[in-house]
Amino acid sequence: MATSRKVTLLSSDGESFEVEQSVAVESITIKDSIEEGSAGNPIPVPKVNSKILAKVIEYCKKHVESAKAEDRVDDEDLVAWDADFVKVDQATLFDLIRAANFLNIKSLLDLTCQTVADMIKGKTPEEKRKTFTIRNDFTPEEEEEVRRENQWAFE
Amino acid sequence: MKLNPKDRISSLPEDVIGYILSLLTLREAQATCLLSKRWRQLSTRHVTNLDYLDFDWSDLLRGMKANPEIAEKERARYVEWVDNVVHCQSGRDHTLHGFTICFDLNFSCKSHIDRWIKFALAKRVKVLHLNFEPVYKEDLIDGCLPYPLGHETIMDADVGCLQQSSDLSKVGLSPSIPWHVGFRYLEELHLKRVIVDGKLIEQLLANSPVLERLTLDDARTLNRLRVAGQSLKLKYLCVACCFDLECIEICDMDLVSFTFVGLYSLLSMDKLPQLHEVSLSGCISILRNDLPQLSSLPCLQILELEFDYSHPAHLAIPSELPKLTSVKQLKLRVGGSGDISLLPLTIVIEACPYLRSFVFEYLLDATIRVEMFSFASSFFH
Repeated sequence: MATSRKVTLLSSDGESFEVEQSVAVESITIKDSIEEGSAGNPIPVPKVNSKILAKVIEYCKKHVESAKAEDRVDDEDLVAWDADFVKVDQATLFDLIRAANFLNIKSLLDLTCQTVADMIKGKTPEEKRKTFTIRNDFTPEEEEEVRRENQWAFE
Repeated sequence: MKLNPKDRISSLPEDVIGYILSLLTLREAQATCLLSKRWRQLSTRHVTNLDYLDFDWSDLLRGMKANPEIAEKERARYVEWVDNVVHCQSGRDHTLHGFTICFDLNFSCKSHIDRWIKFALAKRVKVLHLNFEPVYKEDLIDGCLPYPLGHETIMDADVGCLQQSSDLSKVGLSPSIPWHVGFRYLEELHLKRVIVDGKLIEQLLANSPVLERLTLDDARTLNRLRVAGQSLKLKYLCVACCFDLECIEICDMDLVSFTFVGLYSLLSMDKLPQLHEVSLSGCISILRNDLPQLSSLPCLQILELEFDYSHPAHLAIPSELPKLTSVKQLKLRVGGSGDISLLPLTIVIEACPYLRSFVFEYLLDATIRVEMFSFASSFFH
């Protein structure tokens, strides 16, 4: 009797995406609004544009499918798929983080934040600034003071 | 504050940045303070609010191992670091989930360590790890004793303790020992290379109403240990390499898992209706001395045994073993030099008539626990 219910998600730039409800509710935000009956049809997803929403849906689909699979998708395979999924440019990565945060999709937030954490590890402050285009707004004296205060964090 | 539009990380929501920082080690998170003024704020706020303090500085430890001359200097650096972070957090009124120290520290750092323990207890820490494993295994290489955990550290002259006194007399302890109220919240305690005596551990157990896990590893001078009583919530007990331990008695409690690594200790286990998992590592006398006690455990399902099996140890295999009828999983790990037949060991498998899984590990030339086995070979003179 289980007919697959579909919902329509509307990105911030007006594009519609029809997805299975089981995929959409990977987002706790969407799940809550459906359960509260406040969802509307289509469900608007502000702050998330069509490019990012498409990727988020791709992620959720993959994870819902692999959880359902008759012969469970190997954990290793899913990990490899996830690793490929986050091989994107920085702009997309951070947009995905914001989307995962707003839509409350824990596993996607974990994956994307861990990717950023891995980008931070093992780099000198200068390398980190370069990677993330962070402007150093310390004066040399200030920088020296900060370094001294936290000397144990630096070799 | 103008942010470079290409700098997408600094403009993330603060709680997301906090989450990313929590995926880094403490030092890595602290190091982000140097990136920009905003990151100095973020990093400081993060460290001040952390509820899990893991003082891992393994690079420094490696440096100590490579250059023993700088050991004191490295120790001082580590101690300064912990002092600094503890100081940052002291002002705030929040609780700690975990506090982990892992470094080659000893008696020379006692006053600092005492302070850290009191700090963690005051913050109602749930999981406390003190691992002072030395970089060199040889004893007392720099003539300094291990850190001793004493009464004065875990006592507290706080008002909050007066209430404890009446509880203390109920368990037969003098109310004049005010225990730190922090023990009410302690769920896990793991000690490695700490001097502690059996009586103190017993009192600690009696005063820690939610303590579920206890590890005593390389606890110097621990001579006798008795872990007993219905009131104990302890579920997981691990006692390892406490080479002065003569006897250990565990009884009348709902322990679920017990791990023991040791050679000459007399092991006594009785009235343990929930004991599900036992791991014993020592010499072959385990089979004769300890297996019979295990047969009285109604719930024992997982058994792991580890011992040296080189000549002439095989002569010590008993001809008969009591049946362990509840054991479903057996793991045998033996070290040997490959010169004697392993067949006599089948008696252990036969002792478990309802076995469902069996794992056998044979370590040729017994590199496991070398110190222990040099004791064992002297036993068979």
